[in-house]
Amino acid sequence: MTKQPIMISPFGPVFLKFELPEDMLSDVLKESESMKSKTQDSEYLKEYDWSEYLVGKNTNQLLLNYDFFVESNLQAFLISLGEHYLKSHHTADTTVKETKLAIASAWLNITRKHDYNCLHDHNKSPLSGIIYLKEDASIGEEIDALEETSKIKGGSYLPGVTHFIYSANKNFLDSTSFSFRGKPGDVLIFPGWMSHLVNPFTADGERMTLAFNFHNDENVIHKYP
Amino acid sequence: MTIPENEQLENPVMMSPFGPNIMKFKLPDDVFTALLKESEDIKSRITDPEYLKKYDWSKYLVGKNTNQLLLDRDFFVQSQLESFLITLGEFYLQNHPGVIPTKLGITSAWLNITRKHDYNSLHDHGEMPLSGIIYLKEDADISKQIDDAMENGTYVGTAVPGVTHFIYNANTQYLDSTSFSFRGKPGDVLIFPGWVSHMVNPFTADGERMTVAFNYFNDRREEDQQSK
Repeated sequence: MTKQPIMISPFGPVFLKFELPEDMLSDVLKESESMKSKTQDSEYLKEYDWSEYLVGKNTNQLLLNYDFFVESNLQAFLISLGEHYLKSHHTADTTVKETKLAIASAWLNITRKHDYNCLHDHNKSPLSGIIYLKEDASIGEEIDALEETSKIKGGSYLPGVTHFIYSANKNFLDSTSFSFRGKPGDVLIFPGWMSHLVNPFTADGERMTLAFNFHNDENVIHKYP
Repeated sequence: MTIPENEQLENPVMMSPFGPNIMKFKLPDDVFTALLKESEDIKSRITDPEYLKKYDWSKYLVGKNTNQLLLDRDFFVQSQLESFLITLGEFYLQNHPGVIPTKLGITSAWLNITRKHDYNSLHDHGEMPLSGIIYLKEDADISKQIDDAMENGTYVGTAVPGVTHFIYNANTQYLDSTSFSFRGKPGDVLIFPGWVSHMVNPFTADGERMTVAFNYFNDRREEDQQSK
């Protein structure tokens, strides 16, 4: 065949992938380490422990300080990305394309051995996102080894990776799940209703991500000022 | 720190990981010309009851079309349309992750002649691993009606007449995409899994629209021969 046929993937929601600018990634990493150092401080936890609003069983889930979020320009950067997603979406609905977004909240996930995020969504948010910050070498080796040796290819069984599930039922040649292993600095944006999960790893070491929810409604609860 | 404006974002990657793929290709010019000629020849025989006895295919199909006529097997083979479509179908499978290499055959290919008020209700070719459509002809009056419908916005979503609407899910969420509408140009070939539901709404313009549809099957005979 001389010319290549075009493969069209017209169904389901789209995912936007981008990279955090290097200086911003450094700032977020530095702030994350600073937050981690305060997890023994009960006064700090009283204000910043965000786990009560989340389904994840992780070592820590900590609200990002709003001043840092604004001053580091991370908030403005993520809003630009979210609005770019909507503007470039193939919908014919101009109200969707022109929606102005804000960020309801952003929180740091610190995950260690046996932690997990069960299947969940952020359904109240028009868009949500994940910034991948850190995957210690031992965790990476566990994922690599399993990926190489397992007889099962594909599917949503790998540990320490984000699995998005569009439907629990599947036809021949259908694709209903999408597994994404982010590199440090990767940003992923997707509709809030999109279910996702992270399976537990058993290696020592630490994985860190920053999750965030967009909103376009003043009535959203649990949000930044 | 500079914040990129929307227009300055350096092409974020937009990924569409879900659902089945729909493969699009063009029929080679000579095969297309031969097929159009054959289609006109088929059309000239539709008043012959003996011909219809053998080639009328509508009883196996849900479409309410003016004619649905089985393509003659000799033409199908000798025009190389069969081998071309098999190559395309096997290319689809080879490029799909996780699919065991499969030899395909074509169970049947039929010509759809559609005129004013004809339609294909929502249906699938469920038992077939892959199916396909070749777009042959869309007369000017029909084209004008479709153009007008698409431009004036009175027909939205899957309401546009005379185009193929694929439906992945009847329910859709915010920012989800569960249908795909395709208006083929003459010579376009589309290949998709047999279970993907699709439909064509009726047009009201005078004129004629023609497509050839076809179904694949897993050709076990070839696999058996290879294993001997």
